[in-house]
Amino acid sequence: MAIKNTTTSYGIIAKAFHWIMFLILVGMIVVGFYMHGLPSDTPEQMTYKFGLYDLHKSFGLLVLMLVLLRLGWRLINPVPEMSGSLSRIEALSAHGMHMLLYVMMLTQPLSGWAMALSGGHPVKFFGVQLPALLEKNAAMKDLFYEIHEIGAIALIVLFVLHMFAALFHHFVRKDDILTRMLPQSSKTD
Amino acid sequence: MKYYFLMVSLVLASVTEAAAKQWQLQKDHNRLEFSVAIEGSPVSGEFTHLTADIIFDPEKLDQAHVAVRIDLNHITASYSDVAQNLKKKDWFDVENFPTAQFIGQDFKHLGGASYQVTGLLTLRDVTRSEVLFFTVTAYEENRAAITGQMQINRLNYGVGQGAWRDLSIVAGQVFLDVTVTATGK
Repeated sequence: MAIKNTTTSYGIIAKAFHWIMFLILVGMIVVGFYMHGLPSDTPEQMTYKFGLYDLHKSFGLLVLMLVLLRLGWRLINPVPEMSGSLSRIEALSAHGMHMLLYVMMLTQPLSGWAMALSGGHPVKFFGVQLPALLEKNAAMKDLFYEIHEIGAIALIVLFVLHMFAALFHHFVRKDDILTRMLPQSSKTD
Repeated sequence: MKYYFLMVSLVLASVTEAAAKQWQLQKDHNRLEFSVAIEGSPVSGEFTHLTADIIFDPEKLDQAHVAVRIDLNHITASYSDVAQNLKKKDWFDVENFPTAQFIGQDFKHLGGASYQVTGLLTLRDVTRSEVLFFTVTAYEENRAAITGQMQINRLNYGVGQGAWRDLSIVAGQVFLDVTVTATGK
């Protein structure tokens, strides 16, 4: 399998970005909603809950780095063309969906980071203290909290649409849109 | 009778004149914040409902007196878990001890605009002597402002009972920062 993309297939780096980010994002959304409702009535519960918050923040920063690297990689690689079976509208909406996914993958870590900082919480990247780039501000915290929460739901909606679109292509259209992103696919030109 | 009334008024006026100035907190210009390390990271919050009786005149420190009452039902914190926990039985136990108070009358001038006041702080069922260091940032005819700091050990007051006594989770040292603007009475 090629490292780089071609005009018809995804290379190993693009696939790695896709599937690693898929796993992290699913974990982030599950943990994000789960940790929010956890009790903290005992020291053990609080250590567990705050520990998950720290992990969520560390992985959020990792997502931010990955999505920036991924966008960079996308810029210096050809994006495989959509299958010829797609109408103009379909191709445009698929492209729009992908752009929206990128926008949300950037919005989520940024709003989460801003929420933590404006809430007065220092953010550590797997134990390494990062500088506080925003001042504590309750109104800003509430704003970023809303953005982060709505963003999570938006990301879930986009993810479900993205997944159904891929399954639709595979089972109904029977084209290679889904298979060409699979890790083991080694289609060559 | 008229003269008598006038004399009483004059005497009263001179008494008020001689006494050190009385102040009352200016609404919405007061902040009492706390900060404590939880697992090494600072968590901060605020007691939003306080009232105070203040008698203070830098020229008459021996007459100065302050009584602050803090309504512990109103706490905000950077983690809402912390704000909720603080009201519970293991912490402030607001059901049984809804207010905290600080009564200070031993004032000392430390030079410049800096002062300290030693007083009695009551939290839960414990009353202990604590020191508030403060700086007078404004002192006008009808308006005065201070910023102050106090450090207390929560375990001295039984704040954080049982397993919460573990200082490796919530530190013992609690930093209090107060900013107050008062108007003359």
